[in-house]
Amino acid sequence: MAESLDKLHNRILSDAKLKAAGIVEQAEEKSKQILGEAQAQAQRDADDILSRASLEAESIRRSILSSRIRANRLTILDEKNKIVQSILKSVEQNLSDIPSSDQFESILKRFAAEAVEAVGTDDAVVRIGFRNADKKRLQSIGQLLPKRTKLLAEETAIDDLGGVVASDPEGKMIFNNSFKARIERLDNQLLTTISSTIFGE
Amino acid sequence: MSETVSKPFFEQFYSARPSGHSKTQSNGVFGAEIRLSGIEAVRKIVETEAQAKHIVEEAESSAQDILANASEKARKIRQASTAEAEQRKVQMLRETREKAEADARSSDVETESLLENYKKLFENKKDAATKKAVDLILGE
Repeated sequence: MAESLDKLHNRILSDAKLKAAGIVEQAEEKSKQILGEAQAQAQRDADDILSRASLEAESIRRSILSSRIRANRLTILDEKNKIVQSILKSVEQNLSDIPSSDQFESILKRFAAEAVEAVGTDDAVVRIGFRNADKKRLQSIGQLLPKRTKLLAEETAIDDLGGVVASDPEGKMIFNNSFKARIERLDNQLLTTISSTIFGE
Repeated sequence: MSETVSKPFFEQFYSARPSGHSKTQSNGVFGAEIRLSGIEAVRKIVETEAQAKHIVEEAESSAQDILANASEKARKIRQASTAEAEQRKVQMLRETREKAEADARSSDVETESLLENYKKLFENKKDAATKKAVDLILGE
């Protein structure tokens, strides 16, 4: 009986130990799983943080650089514009000095001829007006124009810088060949010429 | 006795226990000897069951500790990983800002240099540019 009792005792304890080992083993398995999942989740969290940080960094970089680069580009454009405007001022000064130059008559004749031709009538009215121009000198151009053309020499410069304006007798067809009008018509070409000469662009 | 111990269990101890070795042999009553041995056996079994129960309970407690430890370790792993990532983020942003500001300063220097160059170009070429523009306007 003692032997059987011992066997039973041992079996009960053995079963209990087996069960206990199973419980611990299961807990260890679960523990491994928890740690594995935690590591994976931690990696995902870290990746997420760094991914957002990359976007934030790019945004910071752009905000710093783009504002400064934009400001610098504007400064450069402003300086170039100042230079071009300065040249144009100089050009206007040169044009307003033309009446006192040797080439005045030939220029005047050419401008008047162009204007009359553009209006396309034999009895055109031609107004001429330059700053500091001798009126007699202006009148002398009349003999170079078609016979039926009427010449009006004005005392003030046409469009500030001077020039020629031709029209038909009714004033319906007008061709403005003043320096100012020619500058406006040649605007793009002038900017290109000045830029390419100064900046090589 | 029959109420607390199952029949095969009782029979097992009843048949296996030799009468000459019983602790209660001195009273000379054979039936009493059997009953006392059975009671002692039950007591031992009860003790063993209690011991077994204790073993299992300890294992359960140990399992709980293991799981609690694992949860705590998991929390620490995530916390450490997050802290490290946040630190790297701060460093990344600082480096990006420094680099961008350096690039911006470089752009400023480059712009200053360009402006200086434009001034020289203007001084050197303004007469040529003016003449070309006047010629264009005059149609020459």
